[in-house]
Amino acid sequence: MGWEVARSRKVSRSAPTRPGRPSPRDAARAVAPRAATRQVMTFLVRFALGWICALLLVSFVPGIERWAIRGTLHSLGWLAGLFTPSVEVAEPAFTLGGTRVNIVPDCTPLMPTTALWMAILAFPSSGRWKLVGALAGAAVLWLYNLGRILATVAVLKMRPEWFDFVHVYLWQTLTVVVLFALFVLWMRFEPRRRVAS
Amino acid sequence: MSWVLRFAGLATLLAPACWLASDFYQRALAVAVSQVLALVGQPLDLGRVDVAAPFDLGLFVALCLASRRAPWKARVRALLAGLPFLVVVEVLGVVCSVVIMLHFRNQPDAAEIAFRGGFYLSDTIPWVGAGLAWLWLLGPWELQSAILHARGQGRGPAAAVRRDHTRRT
Repeated sequence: MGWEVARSRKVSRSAPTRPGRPSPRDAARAVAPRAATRQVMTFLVRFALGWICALLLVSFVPGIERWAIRGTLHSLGWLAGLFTPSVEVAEPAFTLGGTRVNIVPDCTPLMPTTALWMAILAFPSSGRWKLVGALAGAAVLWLYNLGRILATVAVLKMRPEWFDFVHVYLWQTLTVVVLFALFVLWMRFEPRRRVAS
Repeated sequence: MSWVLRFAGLATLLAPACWLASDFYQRALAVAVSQVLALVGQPLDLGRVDVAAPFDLGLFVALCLASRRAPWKARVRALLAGLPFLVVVEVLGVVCSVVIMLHFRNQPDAAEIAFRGGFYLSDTIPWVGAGLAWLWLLGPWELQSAILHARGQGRGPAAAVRRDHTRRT
């Protein structure tokens, strides 16, 4: 391991002055910093355990899924109702201007929110910052999902031949990008801690 | 945030290719899953699976290409190791989902729970597969740099690297 090599006096003299980055020799060898590897593995194990618990929870408690569908439908009805009167919500269908879509569990932000929450929980940070991240992240993902469904309905109405691609792109690709962006933002804006004596 | 923009751009560029390959890929995935199911004594002929593949592969490639903190050798290695790993995860994920659903299908009380469990287990593939593979292979470089400027003496990867570095020099 590169950082183990750095123990030798010769290498430690030429070690980088900027902390937190591997030395050029480590970089050239494409070996990850050992401490960071350990931290990332801990994060992955915590995330995996949290994810399994979350999957078991949503499997055994069907009310969560039902609540997510109902909440998404009513939020959509309220949001679209601000702009147009031709909105109809009849579980599990949402109709906008004559275009009808069914809201199924996959159309709710349940899974992306769970993934974000598990990542936030697994990451070493203060409890308060985790709570802020979880609540703000859930709100952003909820709003994003409403926008996504409304955009998908608009595409279905105006360009139905584009629907399949837009649906899978907005849901699969862009949602994961949003998820990563939220997590990175949450990490970057964490308030600095006071150094313990 | 430049990393996120690079990732978004690359993922968007790769998405049409993934979409075009999706039908063929998911049929091939179904064949592989059917063969594994036959091996474990659950013969089932799946015509096609729907796990949003290979968008997870596209996302993983985008994540690796967007990563600039990791040296290029590590990125190439991540691509070479990560893509086959994700394909295996796809096959095993669907196999586990189907086995769970089939195993409890005749038990009225458990069937609904098992169906939901299998469904959400297969959701693991599109939602977290690419991200976890990327973190596993390139996270030690990328995660620490993402938080380097925001963290002081915390318990996070950046601080750990800093401590590690200080100890060794």
